[in-house]
Amino acid sequence: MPAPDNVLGIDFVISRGLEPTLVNHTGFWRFLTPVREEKPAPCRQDCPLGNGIPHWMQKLQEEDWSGAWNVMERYNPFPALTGYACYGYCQENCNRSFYDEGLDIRELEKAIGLWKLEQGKAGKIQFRPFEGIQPGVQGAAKSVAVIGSGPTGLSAAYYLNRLGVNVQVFEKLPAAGGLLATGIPPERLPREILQQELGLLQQAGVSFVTGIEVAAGDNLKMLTDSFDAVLLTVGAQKRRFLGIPGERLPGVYNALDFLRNLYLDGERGLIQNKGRVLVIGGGNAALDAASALRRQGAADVWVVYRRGREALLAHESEIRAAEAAGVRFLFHTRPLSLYGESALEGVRVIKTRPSRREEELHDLTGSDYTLSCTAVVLAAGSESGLNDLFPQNLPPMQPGVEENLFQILELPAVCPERGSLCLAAGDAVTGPQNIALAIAGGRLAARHLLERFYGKGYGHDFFGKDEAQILKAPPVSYEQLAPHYYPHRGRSDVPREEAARCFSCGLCSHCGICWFFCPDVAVEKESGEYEILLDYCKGCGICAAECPAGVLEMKELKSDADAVER
Amino acid sequence: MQMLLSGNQAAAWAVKLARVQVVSAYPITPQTSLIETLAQMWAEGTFAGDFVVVESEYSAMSYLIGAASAGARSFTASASHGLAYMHELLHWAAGARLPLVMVNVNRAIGAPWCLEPDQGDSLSQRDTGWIQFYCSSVQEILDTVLVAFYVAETTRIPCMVIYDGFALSHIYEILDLPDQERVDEFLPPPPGEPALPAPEPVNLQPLVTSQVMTTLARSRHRAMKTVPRLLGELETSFQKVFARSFTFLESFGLAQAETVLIAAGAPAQTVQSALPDLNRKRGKVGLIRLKLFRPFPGAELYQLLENTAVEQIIVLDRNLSAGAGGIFAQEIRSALQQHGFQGKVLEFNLAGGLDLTPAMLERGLAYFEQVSPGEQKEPLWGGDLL
Repeated sequence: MPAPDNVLGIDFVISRGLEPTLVNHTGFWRFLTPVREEKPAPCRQDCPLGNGIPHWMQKLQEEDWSGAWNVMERYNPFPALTGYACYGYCQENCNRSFYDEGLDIRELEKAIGLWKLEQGKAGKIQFRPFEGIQPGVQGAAKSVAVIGSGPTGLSAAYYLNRLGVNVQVFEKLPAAGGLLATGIPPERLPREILQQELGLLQQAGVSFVTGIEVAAGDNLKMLTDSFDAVLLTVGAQKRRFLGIPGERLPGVYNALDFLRNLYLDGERGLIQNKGRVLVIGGGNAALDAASALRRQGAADVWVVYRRGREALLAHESEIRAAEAAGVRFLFHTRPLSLYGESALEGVRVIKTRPSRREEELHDLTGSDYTLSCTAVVLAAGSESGLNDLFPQNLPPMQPGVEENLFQILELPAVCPERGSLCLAAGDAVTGPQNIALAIAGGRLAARHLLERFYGKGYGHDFFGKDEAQILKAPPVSYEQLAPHYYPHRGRSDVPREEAARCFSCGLCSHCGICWFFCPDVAVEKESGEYEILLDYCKGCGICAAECPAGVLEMKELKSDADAVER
Repeated sequence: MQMLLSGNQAAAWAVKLARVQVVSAYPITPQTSLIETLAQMWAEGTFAGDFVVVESEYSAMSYLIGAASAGARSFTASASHGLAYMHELLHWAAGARLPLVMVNVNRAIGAPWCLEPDQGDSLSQRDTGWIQFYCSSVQEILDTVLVAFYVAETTRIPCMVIYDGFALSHIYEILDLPDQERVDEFLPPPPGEPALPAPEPVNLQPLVTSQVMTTLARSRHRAMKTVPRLLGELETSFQKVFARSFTFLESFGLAQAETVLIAAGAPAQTVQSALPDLNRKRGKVGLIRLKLFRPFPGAELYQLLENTAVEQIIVLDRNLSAGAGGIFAQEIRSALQQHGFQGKVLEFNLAGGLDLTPAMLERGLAYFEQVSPGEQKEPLWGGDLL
């Protein structure tokens, strides 16, 4: 303030205190306390991996690729694979879609994945061992045999290897990758991406044995004798039949076999079929097979499904892809028998009464008729590969850990004498699911094994705090956010810009809005972190109302000690 | 430059020319077009200060208390209920000796709702410790806002510039708009560096004892009392820079007058224009235009009347302190009695914001000629002359 003009002799006295107002602990007037609590973003909750998407978004906003990968790795070691092949459940309920346009999360995940592949190839990032992990201290190095090289097996192998365990992966087919190689079309997952991931795993120390089928009995016993644990990630590809006459006729194919032969061996016999091909079933395998047939040149491809379009089990993106490929649909129709003299000639079908998926199915009496065709592709579902592995009878199993669907099973009877472990995880336990859930199953199995080897809490330095509790809370709703702080803007191809559109639902983004608005100056900024000074917070709630991420919430607490950040 | 502006526009121009750094205001009839003009200037980039939109008058004044504490030249404007809503903070600004300037456009305070220019809103704030000016023309509004900044920053007393709603706020008059260089010469631009945050933080306006409070009160009073002298000295520099006069007390026809009308605000302009006609018809009528109300220029008023033949003073009040009478009349009566004035001080009351016409004035003077030498028991109500 300019000094007053005392030339005119104007009296000027104001009062200034020497003691700061900090002595007044006005915080004890407070009834409600702002509590900063991480909550699940809809993307995280919809992701089968519980991927901490807002966490790595914050790193991408700063173009900190290495930081983004370090966060990503805790949840998903193969972001390139999911970036290409996941259905993108995370994007279905993005809160940003209520504002302008939902985030393109999958594209950003893919970008981190491609960054990882590039850095890995150049030897710029290391995958083993995680610093801070000293297996020698906890005991002798352990070894694990992973049976099956699909996404679950690869994920388990990655984490076990990363945390100091020797891993050997066994694959019965000549090439590793499981369903990634045999089930997902190359249009969705370029095979060179899969090869690069497999190459990095090998480079990191995981060894692969391909072309060897593990079977129950001596074969399996040999593994349990040589390894500290055997992890069965054999998937759910045991073919199921409809149980109607004619399923073994020449001209009847299985969808999974067809896809595997096509993608692995380039087998095109069925595609060159000039007649009508009927695909029976309504799951992803059925729609994948039908689309592949059409895309590869088959002339007349029909999906025959017993209920309506809305009841199809396949993911909506698969259905749209099939429609776009020119696949035709015959709904509310179910096969009664496949017939033919020496080879398939047609299918006897019957119409069904429209019903929802959970309702019992009823035929329309007298509506049966004959559909002629030259080939049928059966996609009647598949069962756990454990049924193939133990064809006589399954050994007793008990749940290992259960978190939503991320289940693993323990098979204690497989290796009773030696005290080694046998576990099953992935589709083998959950039934056919999706790539993200399969990776989650591998991660869970790895964590479980690590704790069994080295004691509870081992690996927490790497995986971070237990987030199961966070994910149990309801997702952050649009109403909990203050999105008006973000300029309206559609998607951007620039990763930094696209990541900057993230509302960071439920996760403090250090935006400083609470600090800016607090009328009592009771939010302190200390090296980029914001702390609420409860000695001075009167509990007005402005910070919670303005918090763009919905992280701050007013709560009635018994004591200030309860306000410690969760 | 000659321009045709309304009172509100003139005030906005003065704010711009004064290089105000922070404006925070909430719209209210009849002040609205003032802040609209400022907002438009801001949007066009011709007004360079901050324009802070707030949700109430209370917040506007709170914001300015902060801004002025940090050393920013700050301004707001309000009227009627909006001014009343600021009341507590008006006290605070004056107690903290912050050189704020605000415009109040007179409007009656309800109940019931009324938009007429009763002066009760600003006179309710008489004791908050603000300097109060009542303007009578559009030119005077512009000039007074500039002077107000000078006086406020010199004395560290906040300053309220007041004019009548609609009668001045929305009436267009030709005025002489000074250019920026001349304004800068009269009112130096504010220093660029804010005083906050201070290198060594201090606790401004903490809890004090009555002994400290009485010292502060006396200091404010003494500072207030220097204002008429300061304004007297300012007349010369104002004349020099702008080539027109600025006065806080103006008289017309006192030498011959036996009766003097004392008025403030727009009614004074009405009386001034009716004066030749009144003198022709009734004779020996003069006018004193009271522009400064706080501090009350009692001594200066008495000096004008000393050695004149004035026997009767008629005070035009467009306000009412119910149970006491017109507020200007009380102040004038008290000040003149203190200085030994022997004549009568009578009341002509236009409470409720009644519009004064020359015809009403003439009828009023006829009434006062008949008032017996004894004391007037009741004000003459303008409403009875319609």
